[in-house]
Amino acid sequence: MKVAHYLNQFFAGFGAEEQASMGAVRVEGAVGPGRGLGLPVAVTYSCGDDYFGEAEDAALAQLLGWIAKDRPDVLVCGPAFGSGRYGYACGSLAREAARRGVPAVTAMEPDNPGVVAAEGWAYVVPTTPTVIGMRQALAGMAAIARLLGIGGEPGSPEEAGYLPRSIRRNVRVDRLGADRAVDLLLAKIAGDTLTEIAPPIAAVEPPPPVPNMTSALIALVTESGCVPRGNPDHLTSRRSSRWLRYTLDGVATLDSRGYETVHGGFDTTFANGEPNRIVPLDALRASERNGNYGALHPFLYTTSGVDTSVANAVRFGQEIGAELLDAGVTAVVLTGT
Amino acid sequence: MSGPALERAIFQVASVDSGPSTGWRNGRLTIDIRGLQDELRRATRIPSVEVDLTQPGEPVRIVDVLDVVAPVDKPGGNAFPGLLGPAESAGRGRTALLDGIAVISTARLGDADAGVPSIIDLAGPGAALTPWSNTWNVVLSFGDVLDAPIGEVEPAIRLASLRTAQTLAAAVRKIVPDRVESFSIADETGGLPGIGVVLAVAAEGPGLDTFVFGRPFNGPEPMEIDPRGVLDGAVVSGAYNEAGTRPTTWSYQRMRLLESLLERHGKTLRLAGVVLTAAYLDDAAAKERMATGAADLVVRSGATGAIVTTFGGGNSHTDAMLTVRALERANVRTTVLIAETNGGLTDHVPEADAMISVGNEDELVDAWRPDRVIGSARLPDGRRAASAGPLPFLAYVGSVNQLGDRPFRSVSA
Repeated sequence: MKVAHYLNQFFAGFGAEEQASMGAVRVEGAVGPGRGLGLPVAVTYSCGDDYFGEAEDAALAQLLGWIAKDRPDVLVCGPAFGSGRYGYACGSLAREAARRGVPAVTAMEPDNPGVVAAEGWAYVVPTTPTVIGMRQALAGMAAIARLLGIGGEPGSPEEAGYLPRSIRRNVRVDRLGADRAVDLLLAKIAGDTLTEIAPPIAAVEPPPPVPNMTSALIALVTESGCVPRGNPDHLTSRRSSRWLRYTLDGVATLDSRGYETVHGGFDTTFANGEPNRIVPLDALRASERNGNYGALHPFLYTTSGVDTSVANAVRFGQEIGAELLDAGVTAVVLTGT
Repeated sequence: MSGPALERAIFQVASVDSGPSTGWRNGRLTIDIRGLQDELRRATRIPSVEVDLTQPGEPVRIVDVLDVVAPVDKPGGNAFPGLLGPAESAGRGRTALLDGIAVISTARLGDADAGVPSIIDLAGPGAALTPWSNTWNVVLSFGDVLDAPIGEVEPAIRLASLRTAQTLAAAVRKIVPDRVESFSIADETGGLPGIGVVLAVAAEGPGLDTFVFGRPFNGPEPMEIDPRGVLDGAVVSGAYNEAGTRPTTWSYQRMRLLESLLERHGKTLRLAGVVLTAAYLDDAAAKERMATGAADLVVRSGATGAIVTTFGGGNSHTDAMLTVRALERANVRTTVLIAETNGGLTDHVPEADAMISVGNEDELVDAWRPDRVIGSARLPDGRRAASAGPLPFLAYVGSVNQLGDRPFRSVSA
């Protein structure tokens, strides 16, 4: 079994923050924590945390190029503990390697953004926020790497000690769903409530009222699938996995010559005839002129919300929300269908 | 709900072959394929119709599948009331059922939701996803009927498929069955918990309808139906979208959930009734009305628990969740059967705390090359049917249907 290991500049021994801009390097054999894995580490890759964050494409291209040449059976990244930048690099590299057929495992604190970056492609072993949990983190990664390296698959998250990857894998069961439904219901009536699907996250708390409308910066966000006519970015009409941003700079109204809706979940005849009724730009412009609020944020954020998973919708909300906060937006008109 | 029992006389099919006339001899069914083909051409006026016979486990992929029907016969020849005869009551008396054989219709229809392939693999990795890899199949291929108005061609194909199923089963008239299953509903069940079923069906127009006693059921109110009627041809699928998550007519005829409840009736529970609801409703008020209406009927049946089923995904899952909420608020405990996706659930209410997973519709099944393709050579997206893959569970007919009759669930990984 051939193992490759990724470490940041600090754990690879190149230096601390002053070396965070260091480009990607490749070293033969195990380095630093890699010696504690108990695995045949053939090669170690490293990169400065800042460099990875600021030049992600270049860093990934270099690292993945080496991985393609070295052809390891498994890639181990980290552990990154609570370090967000290091964790992000570990999660992203592990994801891209796994996408290319090299199974990968990493380790970090469950809140680390690197967990999201791994997108379920890589196994992520949960760790303590600080290096105090180094020994357990290395042992946890090594156990999974040993399996992955020989083409095996770890068991469930609970059994194998990794964070659930939001992957739902189909398994054959002897007892049919219909019979299980009756069993489950009788148990629930008897006071024992069990479920095969964990309930998703809780509802969203309503925000407080907008404190001062006269200075409010308002953004338009929609799940109606409203896009420039011709759908230049090919927004899908259902099961969307992304959102799009279009400038409203100099746009006074959404007329049907310039805009359409590609939503696959309702009859779009009226929306296409008068796009302002699905995204009320005309009314917001009039209100802006009258001084009813401060200003309109000069972008429209759009997706088509039909058959879209809650996980994706939550991600859209987080990503769009982060951008709006950055821009100082204080209120949003969100149109749904 | 008591009354006479439904008796299902089971005839086990050992082999099927083609011959000059249709008949049954010691488990061996002979089918006049050419005569059947001529009859289908005449009845449907679709000249391209072809009939194929497949063996269990043959390396065959069936494409553009519309429906699957279990061959059944009723004395008097009205196995599908309202469609093959008057809308008389179903679920009583004796029905002959051929076990181990299916009638499968295929066609490429216009207007229907053509985005997702609708296939059955009789061998290879997809074979495990379907009961029909183990059956003999009489496949009626109507070909490309995209140019024909769906409102004319769809009923013709549906009726022809049902009639074929009945014609095959009529071969066992006056013959002693291998066994008889009896479904009765005793009134006296002591203090056993009453359990209801809410069966949501597709109701969106031609190609997306469900027929109940011959008419498309589209509400506007929920209705009660005898569970034995569901098992006995009263409910017929005319909905052809989302192959994996939709029930076929077969799924209703052999609905394991109702069989399971009927088997346990009088032992561990009392089957209080089945309520049909129309799902995929267009507006919030209609959805709420259907959900609360269904809950009212369940409460009136005296049930303290209910199993909620659905079809498809997205919109219909909102209907299912609203139904769960309405039932729980009326103090009826619930479980709901749900097909999962890679992205989690489309909708959820906190009251849905006991969910059954029938599997993840997005999971991919390895690519496979059949020796023969029945139906279109290409999938709706243009890929060659003989080499396309990997394909998701969603493309395999009934593999993750939410009546819970397939041996799958999904687990975290």
